[in-house]
Amino acid sequence: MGAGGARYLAGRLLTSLLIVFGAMLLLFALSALVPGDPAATLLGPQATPEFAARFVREMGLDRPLHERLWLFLSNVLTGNLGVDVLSGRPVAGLVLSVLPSTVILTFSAIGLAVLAGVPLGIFAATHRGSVADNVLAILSVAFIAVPSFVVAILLLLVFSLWLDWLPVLGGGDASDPIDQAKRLILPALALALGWIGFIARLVRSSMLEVMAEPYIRTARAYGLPERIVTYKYALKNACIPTLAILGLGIGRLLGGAVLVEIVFARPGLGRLIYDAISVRNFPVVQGSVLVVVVLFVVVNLLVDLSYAAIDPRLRDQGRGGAAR
Amino acid sequence: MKALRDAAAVLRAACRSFAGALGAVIVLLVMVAALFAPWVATHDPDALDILNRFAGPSAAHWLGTDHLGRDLYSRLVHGASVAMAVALSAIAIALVTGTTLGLLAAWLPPRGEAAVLILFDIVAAFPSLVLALAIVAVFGPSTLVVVVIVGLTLTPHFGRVARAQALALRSAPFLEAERILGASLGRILLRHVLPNILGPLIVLASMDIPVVIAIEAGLSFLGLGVRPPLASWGVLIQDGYQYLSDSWIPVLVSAGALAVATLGFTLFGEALRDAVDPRLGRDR
Amino acid sequence: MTTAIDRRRLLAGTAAFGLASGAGIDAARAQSAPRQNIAVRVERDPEVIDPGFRTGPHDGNIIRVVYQRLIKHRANSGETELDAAAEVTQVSPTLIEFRLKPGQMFTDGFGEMTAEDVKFSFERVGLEPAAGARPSPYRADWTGLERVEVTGQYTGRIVLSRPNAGLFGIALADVSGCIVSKRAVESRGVEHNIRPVGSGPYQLASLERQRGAVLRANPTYTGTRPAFAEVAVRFIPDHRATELALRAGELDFAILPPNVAEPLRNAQGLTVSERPGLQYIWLGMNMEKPPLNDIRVRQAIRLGLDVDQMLLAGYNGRAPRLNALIPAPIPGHWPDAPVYRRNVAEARRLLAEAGARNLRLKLLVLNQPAFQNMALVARALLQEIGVTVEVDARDGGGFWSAGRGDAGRDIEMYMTVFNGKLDPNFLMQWFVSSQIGAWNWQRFADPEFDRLFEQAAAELDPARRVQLAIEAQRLMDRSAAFVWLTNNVSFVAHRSWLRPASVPGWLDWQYDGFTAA
Repeated sequence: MGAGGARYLAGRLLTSLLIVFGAMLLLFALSALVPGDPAATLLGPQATPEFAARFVREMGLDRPLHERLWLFLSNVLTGNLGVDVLSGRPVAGLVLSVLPSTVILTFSAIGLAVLAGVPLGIFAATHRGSVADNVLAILSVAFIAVPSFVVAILLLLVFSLWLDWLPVLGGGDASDPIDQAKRLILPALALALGWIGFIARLVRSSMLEVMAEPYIRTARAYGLPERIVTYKYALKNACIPTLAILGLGIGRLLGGAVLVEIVFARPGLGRLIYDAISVRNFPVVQGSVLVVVVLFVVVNLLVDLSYAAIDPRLRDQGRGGAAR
Repeated sequence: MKALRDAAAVLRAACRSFAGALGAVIVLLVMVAALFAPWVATHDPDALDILNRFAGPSAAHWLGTDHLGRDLYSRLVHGASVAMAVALSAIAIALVTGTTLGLLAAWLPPRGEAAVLILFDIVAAFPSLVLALAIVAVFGPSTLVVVVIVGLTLTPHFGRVARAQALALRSAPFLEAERILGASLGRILLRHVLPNILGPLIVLASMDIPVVIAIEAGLSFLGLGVRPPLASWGVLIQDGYQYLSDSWIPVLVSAGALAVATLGFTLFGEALRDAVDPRLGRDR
Repeated sequence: MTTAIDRRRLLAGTAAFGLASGAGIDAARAQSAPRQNIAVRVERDPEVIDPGFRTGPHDGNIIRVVYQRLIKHRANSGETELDAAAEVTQVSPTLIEFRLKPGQMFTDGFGEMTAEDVKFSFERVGLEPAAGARPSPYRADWTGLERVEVTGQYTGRIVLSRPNAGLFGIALADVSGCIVSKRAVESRGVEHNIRPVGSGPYQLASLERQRGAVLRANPTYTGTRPAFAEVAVRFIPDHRATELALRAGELDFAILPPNVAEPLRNAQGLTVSERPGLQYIWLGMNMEKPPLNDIRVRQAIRLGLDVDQMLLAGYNGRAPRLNALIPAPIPGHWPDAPVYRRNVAEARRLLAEAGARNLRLKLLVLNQPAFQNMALVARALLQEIGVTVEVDARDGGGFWSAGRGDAGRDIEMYMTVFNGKLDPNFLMQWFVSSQIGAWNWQRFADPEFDRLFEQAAAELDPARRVQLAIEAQRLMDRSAAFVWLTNNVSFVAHRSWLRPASVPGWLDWQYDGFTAA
């Protein structure tokens, strides 16, 4: 990478920072607008007015807006995500305690999607026009089209209840990795199914496109075995768009994880945010959403950069990488 | 007239493949159910008959009744109108705001363009379900809120495509000629650019219908979407799930309807895209 | 009264008896107990294991076994027995003396429990806190507390400014009467919320966000050892998921709504029983907001509704109907309360008389299935008397803050649920006129009710107190602002070999009273 590469890198970093900053403003605006207070929500009639007022004070909700904004921004800059008003403990610790479970779920889903989706895509591309290709095509669309929470409910019913094959709920015993792995299978599958169809189609169409390129035809003309042509040239190039999609996928999966975490009663960031919003625990909402946004931005930045490293032409097209 | 003939040709091309035809049939069925719900349905979807709850399928109730004794078939049919109403209005919002911002981005100086693009990125980076949860918390759950949330989250999608299409057009010779002739920017955008990029955007819109239906169902499943007593497929799935042990029919039928409808719209949207421009919005 | 303890004097004799019988159970259990550990389900994430700042009954249930109290409820009973105290004496209506048992040790090396700890524990909940400290939201439990005096290492006196008939049941025997270690609270600060130091039958072994808590038997506990060495308290918010976990054998105990629990009756190895609840659920009307400020409109709505149909929709018809504020298990229940039957003609007549035509009213509910279903039935029923209802279902955050301050003036009708305790004043406290703008969303203001409430709070004669409570409920009935629905029903689902324990009402579970059959 020369000067162009450095400029590209700097530009992408700046955009990423701006995105995070914008998300912070949005987050702040939302918590300033949302009515309700955690004392009343959690304690119902047991919440005394003094106590509710105390919560409002502790969350800084009684201060002027600009002061609150400044406090929020400066706290985040010093790595302070705020204090959970209920337990009085730092939000950062809270987020860290549930983050692994969501990250594991997300990455296993993506892993599963790649493991199943890429071979299916290659198969479809190399058997273009066959019955299997047509069946796969419709199946892929079906996988994409059905929402993950519907898949989750159906999986839960079939595998856990009717067939009684797998343990169903929660994250499993923290000290027992095998138990945890078993409980990961169904949620990961529910989340991955759509992406399996997606990746399969993407790999198929990218490969077909690449295989029509002149240099592949040249390679064939030189008598290279078909297998090598397929796997070495075509697949490598087909990986590029797949990579870009994965960045988006990880970001979107975090969103999709909320519903799956709820259906399977799994601990995780999605659940934490859902519960925190429903009881109006604003510091927890702000802290954990910020972590999600930063994760999304970082993953996309990495994907964009590796994308650019694989194919330098893309740099000149500006922000082509993560564009949907 | 030419536009109509073009559209008819595109439709014919889209239905040529098996998948496209299957999609078209499903879309047609859903549309008929949605538009003529009061006639297609056999009962008032909100009429309670609490003493006749969980009745099995019969001549009077084709799919049986739910936990409040409402006719399940009629609720499914009316669910199609809810889904279509939400999907079409949300997409209309996304189409209008997205196209406006996208065109703006294409014609603004680089700095303005960057600002619009970053705005798109912020919305895209913000987890949409969290945005939905927060907005619902502010305004309370209602159909309108769902429509606005989904419209907002899809805006960047349309914006980016509109911008890319417009950029490709910007240096087209006929626009150059218009400009030399002194046409105003507004005239150029409205009369010349918009009609030329509208086709791809409408195809995109058709592909987003299943996405919207799924988001609405997800929100309603969480109790944050359309309000009872309105019959949305997400509400039906949630109700069915709650009363699963009393009867498995509601959850299976409503989840099935949702799955088939999203599948049909996806198949049809893709066939439409392939007929218009195979490269369009492929990477989503 | 159900809590028919001798308030004047509770002696160590009861505790000695408890020990003896406990040993017998121990021996029997050794032969039949299939397991040393059990898993129970809670609906909300346990968060704060500190008696003064608990976030709800799910926290309270853990707190009551981690700490000791002076007195506690016996297993599956509304009666109390001695716990940390060797003796509790009510010297006068405003003075209670106590003597602690010696040798009760706090965990983590925080030493022996003394009267100083008792004073600290009660005053931090019941009195105005020192400047800068958090007030406890549960201060009302200690209404009338003036101070606690320490008279010796193990002895002290609780001094009240006025008599409080509910003090034994609501404060002393319950979560707000739990005894913390003064030294531990002061040295651990907020950490104490999640690393509590107690002297009770269980210790908190772990508390993980989104997962729940693990309780382990406390080896230094001086009372009866609990039957199970470990209790895993698992957080599962969804009822359906809970049902699956029970079937799959991953849970041993849970409380479920009727529609989810009933089919479990046929599941092998599971027992499901129905217990009347101590919650109270009603539809309230804002007496200040036109047209509901006209009593005839409120009466018409009360007659237009059919409570039984609403309960069929909300609770599969399994929840008992409630006809006044106080449910049967609680002293102060009004057995002769009027039972309103649906009367469309009369309701229409009342509306016509009030000149109300084409009424449109909003009905605010929580976005939970039971409430939404009841609201939909109410909507259909009221349609027939010419009232159009718009159902406004909100999540917890939006719902619970709707009646606060001036926003409460705009509420029209709402349906809600409050948790009860075995004390009439605990239930009545939310309906006095000073609660308008806080929890009295009906804006029901009756000076006579307020007076009866005060009088009942100080009345130490149980029979007289019941009369006062019934008189107060008569006034509520006359206002026609309340349509009582149900005191809820708890479907207790558990492994057939397990005998769960709770104070009646199944809100306050007793993990230390769970045994194997």
